[in-house]
Amino acid sequence: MKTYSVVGKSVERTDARIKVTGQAYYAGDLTAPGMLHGKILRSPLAHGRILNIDTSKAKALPGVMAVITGRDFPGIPFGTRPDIRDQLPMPITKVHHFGEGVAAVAAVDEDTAEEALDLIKVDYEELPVVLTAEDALAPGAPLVNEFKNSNIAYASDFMFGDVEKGFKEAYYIKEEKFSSQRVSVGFIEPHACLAQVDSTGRILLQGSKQSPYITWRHMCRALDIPLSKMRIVNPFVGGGFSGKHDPFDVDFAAVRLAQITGRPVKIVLNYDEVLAAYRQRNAMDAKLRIGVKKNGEITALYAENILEGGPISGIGPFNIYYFGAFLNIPYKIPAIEYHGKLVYSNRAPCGTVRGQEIVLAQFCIDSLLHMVGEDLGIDQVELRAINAVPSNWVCANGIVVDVSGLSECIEKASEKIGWKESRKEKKEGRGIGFSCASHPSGPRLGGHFGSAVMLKLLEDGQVIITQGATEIGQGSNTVFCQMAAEELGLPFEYIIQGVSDSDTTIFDSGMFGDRATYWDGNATIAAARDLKKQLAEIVAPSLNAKPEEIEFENKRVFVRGEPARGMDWLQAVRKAYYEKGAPLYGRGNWAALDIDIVDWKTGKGNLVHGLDFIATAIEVAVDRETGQVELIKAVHGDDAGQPINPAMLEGQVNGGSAHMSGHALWEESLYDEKGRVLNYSWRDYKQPTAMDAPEYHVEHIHTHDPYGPFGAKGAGEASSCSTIAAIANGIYDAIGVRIKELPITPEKILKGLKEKEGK
Amino acid sequence: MKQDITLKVNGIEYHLSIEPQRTLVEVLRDTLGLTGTKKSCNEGECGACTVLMDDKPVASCLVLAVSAQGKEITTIEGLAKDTKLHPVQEAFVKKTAIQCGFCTPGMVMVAKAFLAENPKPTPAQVRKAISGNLCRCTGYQQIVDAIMAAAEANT
Ligand code: FES
Ligand code: FES
Repeated sequence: MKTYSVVGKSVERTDARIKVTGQAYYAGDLTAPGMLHGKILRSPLAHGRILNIDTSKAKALPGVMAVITGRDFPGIPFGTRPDIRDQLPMPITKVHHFGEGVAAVAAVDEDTAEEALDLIKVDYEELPVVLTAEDALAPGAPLVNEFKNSNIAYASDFMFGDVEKGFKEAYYIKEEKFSSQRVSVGFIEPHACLAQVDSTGRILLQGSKQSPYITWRHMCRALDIPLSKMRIVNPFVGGGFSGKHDPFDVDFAAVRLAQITGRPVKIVLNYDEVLAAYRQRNAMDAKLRIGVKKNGEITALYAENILEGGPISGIGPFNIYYFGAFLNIPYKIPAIEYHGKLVYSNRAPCGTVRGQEIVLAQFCIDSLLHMVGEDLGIDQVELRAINAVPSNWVCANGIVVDVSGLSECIEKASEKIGWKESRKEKKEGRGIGFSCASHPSGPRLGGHFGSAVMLKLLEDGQVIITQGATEIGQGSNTVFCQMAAEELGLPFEYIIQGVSDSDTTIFDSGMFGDRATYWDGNATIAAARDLKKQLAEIVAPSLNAKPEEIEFENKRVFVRGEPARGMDWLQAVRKAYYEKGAPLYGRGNWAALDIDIVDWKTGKGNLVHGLDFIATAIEVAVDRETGQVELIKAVHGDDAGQPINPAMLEGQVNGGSAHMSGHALWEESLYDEKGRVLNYSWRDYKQPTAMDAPEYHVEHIHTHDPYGPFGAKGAGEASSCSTIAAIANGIYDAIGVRIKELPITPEKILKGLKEKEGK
Repeated sequence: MKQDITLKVNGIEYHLSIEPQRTLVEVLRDTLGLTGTKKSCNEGECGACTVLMDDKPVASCLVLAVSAQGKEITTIEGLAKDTKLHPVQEAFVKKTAIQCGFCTPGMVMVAKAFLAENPKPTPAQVRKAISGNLCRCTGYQQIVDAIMAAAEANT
């Protein structure tokens, strides 16, 4: 195997020193001359017709520069795809959820803007609310979304393999229902943006955006302006986890207010607004039936799932497909039938959250697998090993697995958690749970889907890299700098990270699904090769060589096999600049053209390359008196191909796991019967703290992905997918109580214990 | 009605005229431009706004600026000496304890104050010390490792 000098090393993050000194500027930190402050008036109702909005008093308040409502926008709906354009910048005819923004104010300071909100009078006609999937599907249910004449936002149905035969061949069949709650995304930086409009009408938006080009496209559509009329620049972003892809009322309102006033407008939310009214994860109601042979080998799976997703589709159609698609993997399932529905409701809008809906699918299937293992007396580790997908595997739905390190992941996780020893002597109230998962390295979606990177060579020999992928904390910038350095034969310090700016960076489809390392990573390599090719052509004649013979290593440019016949990198760069007058740019792009655009409705197609794998083992302690669960230790056997930066990868794996431990145990966004959110503050909405999170260990299982940059796979989100079932299974292992409804609260545990003892 | 106050931040005295209801985080960020201190929940729940007041960590969103007079206030901007990072900062960098970085200033301030009082902590004590600071990115492990490493570097 090739040894790398920069790739595979845990180099310091490019932004670590900036962030640790407080010099990283996030959207809320920005200012501009003449800047106004914006605030948003929110709906007290979850569902209501807007009869009238009177803004006259607010407008008359000294210091108020403008007040807008949904009517100040062109009324053009936008959405993830042409068939699901079902949202407006701000509502016009009705409100759809508690806390939805109905009007916005720009004023000279925040206090004045706040005061103006109190002067806006909105007349509503209250409408009946649709809270649950059951409400949404009830005959005669009120319609939630004005652009759709049904509460079914999307459906995905598929059947792969011979399901009937699979169940016939089964020695044992088990069917169970599972459900999950509404959870908030939970990044710490609230939504914020600064919008400016120049005298030609061109907009500059600097926001806390995970996928700025998704925001940009949707905004230009809904504002009815060409893309070139808006520039979007990303400052530092305080976490995304799929909660910051699309434009929100925050962004639209800031832009519109800036257009009207001709002054910069900044809007920064307070976190209670985020918890009440912004992106959450869909609630799930699922039923799974599994068939297995006597040894535990899966023969067939049948699954139904309804996701309750709030008043807009967002990325929901993809979620409902993803849930079914990832039941196909990481276990070998020859036949699978799936029926999924996404329904509208009057709760907060959903996008997705870290790990996408694989998180929920995996909670169901790995819980069910554990139950099967218990029923048949099969060891939990063996059960997973026997079903683990190997390399060169084609899933029932057509997903192709090139390289799988899952068996080793399972082996390592069980070894490090001490599974075998734990079976010999079981400690009271202690248990170990397992779950596996697979996560793709970025799916191919419709529309623009490629990744591109540009390298700008400076006269001093350093290289500035810009790419469409955006740094939101996950560390992608560092990873691209490492890859560029490796490919150019330069030290890591020679690569400087540029700014994400739609005027200069080449666009990207977005920062989701573990795609950055893989897609932009390949584009980085392509860009570096392009730069080398240009430089080789300039240098070769003076070395009496052909350009193809030129190599780049250790800051040297030389003829292959003859390191002495060459020159320093800097000399080569100067040759380009001073002798040829040739400023050099390397350009590269990458797109997985050989994979399919999956039909979300039928599930057909090979969705992705670079499936990463994980096996998670979590040790828990359950207090029988209080029902409290303590997470003691978690071990992740993680196959992310070639880790580009092992320490950063560990941080991603641990972070996803801690995040989902909140989903498993503590977090739930609660709604009253009128659809009002009850716990929209961190006092009442409990995200895991350092005391809640267990001690984490990551075991890297090195594999080499044939399509990935340097053999890497996308990384980071798999642990989100494997954590919840591992916790649920650990709790069962500890006290013999199975909870299938998330979150697993002490009340549910105590009730379960009581029922068990009553038996 | 504005009030004249004197605040000492990172060793520098500032004479300011502010409204008495302004919190310390607002004055630090909006008046002094020290935006390294972050604000998120504005109610003492996330720890992002943590600064030191006479070496004790406080949620600066819960402190009125007027009541911070006469105290030594230290913010994240006041830790490094030129380009030399404070040992806690250095440990956060070296141990990969930073991802999005939004929680980082608050975490570093808490860690600094904690280590000053507890130079040889256990990981469990470290976890308790930072339990008022939310981080969604890291899962806390590398933050705990960093604080332990900073403690070790000091002994
Ligand atoms: S902003 Fe002060 S604790 Fe959250
Ligand atoms: S590093 Fe992002 S919240 Fe802690």
